[in-house]
Amino acid sequence: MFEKHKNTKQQEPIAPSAQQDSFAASANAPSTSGRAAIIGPGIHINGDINGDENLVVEGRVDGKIRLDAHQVDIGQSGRVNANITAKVIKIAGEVRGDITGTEKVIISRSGNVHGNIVAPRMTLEDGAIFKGSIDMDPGEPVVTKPAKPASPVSKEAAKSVEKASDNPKTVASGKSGGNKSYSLNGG
Amino acid sequence: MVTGAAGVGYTSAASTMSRTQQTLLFPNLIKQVKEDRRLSVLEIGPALPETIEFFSRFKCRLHFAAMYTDPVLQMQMGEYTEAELADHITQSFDFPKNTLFDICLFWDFLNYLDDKALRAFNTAIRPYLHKSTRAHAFTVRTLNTTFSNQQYGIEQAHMFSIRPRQGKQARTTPHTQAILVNLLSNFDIDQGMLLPDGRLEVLMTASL
Repeated sequence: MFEKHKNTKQQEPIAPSAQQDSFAASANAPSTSGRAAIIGPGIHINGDINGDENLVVEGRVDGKIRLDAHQVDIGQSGRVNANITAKVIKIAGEVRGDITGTEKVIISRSGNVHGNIVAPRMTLEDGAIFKGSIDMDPGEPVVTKPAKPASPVSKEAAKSVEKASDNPKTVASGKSGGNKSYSLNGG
Repeated sequence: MVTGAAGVGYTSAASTMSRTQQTLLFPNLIKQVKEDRRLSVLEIGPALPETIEFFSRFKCRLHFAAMYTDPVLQMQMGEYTEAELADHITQSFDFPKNTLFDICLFWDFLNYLDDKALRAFNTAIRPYLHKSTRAHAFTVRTLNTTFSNQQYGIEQAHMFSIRPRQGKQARTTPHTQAILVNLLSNFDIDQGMLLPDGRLEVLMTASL
């Protein structure tokens, strides 16, 4: 059921070609132990998963996943209905459950997540689907950038709303909405 | 860059092109944020990278409700009662217990709800408001104002991002300011700014 990799480049491919992109992503990802267990696309696990190595999920898991010091990759074909706790969590498939990443959480553009996320750093790629909450703590005082067009609006004037604004025009952004992602907390 | 009507600038011919829009009101909302407490924010739309990045500077919990794709937009055209719609919206929200929002970002979502659905929305969101909850929304000054099929994010406190929304646009039911405050009785409008395209950007405070 599980296959272990010490060096994925030297191993025979064990998954269908459709999954190779996500496996490659897993191989390139930071690893704390250099080993990864793989739940293949044809596997359905109903229960809890604990362990001491990285995990790649291309199949289906219902239950809980807890790999505190390791990385969990949910591949594009992965379907997880479970709470996940790990050091690093990368999601390219579907997850329903709460996610705790003690280091970071990454939702790829093909990722679809419904749940609550707690992580010091989080990356959401353009195109990813997420419904739920994200707990964020930058760990430093809040810095609010002053607005460039600092033009206070009086309450009375605003309530009348009879006068069109001179300033609120739309302007070019200089970005195309492509494959963009952001990291939280400076990560 | 090609500049279109109403000062809209486009940067790309790609279908995913985005624009930005200045806002004079949103900074007023953000500058009231207290540094020493965790902020609770409701984003009624989808999660966008720029919005997450913007709020990453705050100690906060950011809730993405993704209501633009919620079945309530179709259900409101059926024979559901206001109470049934309110129950559905509450289930869709699925907010953790004891959630109280400091900031609600409604964007133009309220204009996708007809009168009955908007009253239901008002009922459903009531448990998650406190006396100082503030909200941002777009409404209209006149009912012939149209809303494009677009989604909003926050680039900076004074700058929203606007992206085309994928999928068919749901039916819109624009509400004027007077009608909005009547149907959305949990809020009073504090400030408004008429935009060149006829939309009215408003800041609201809970009136509990």
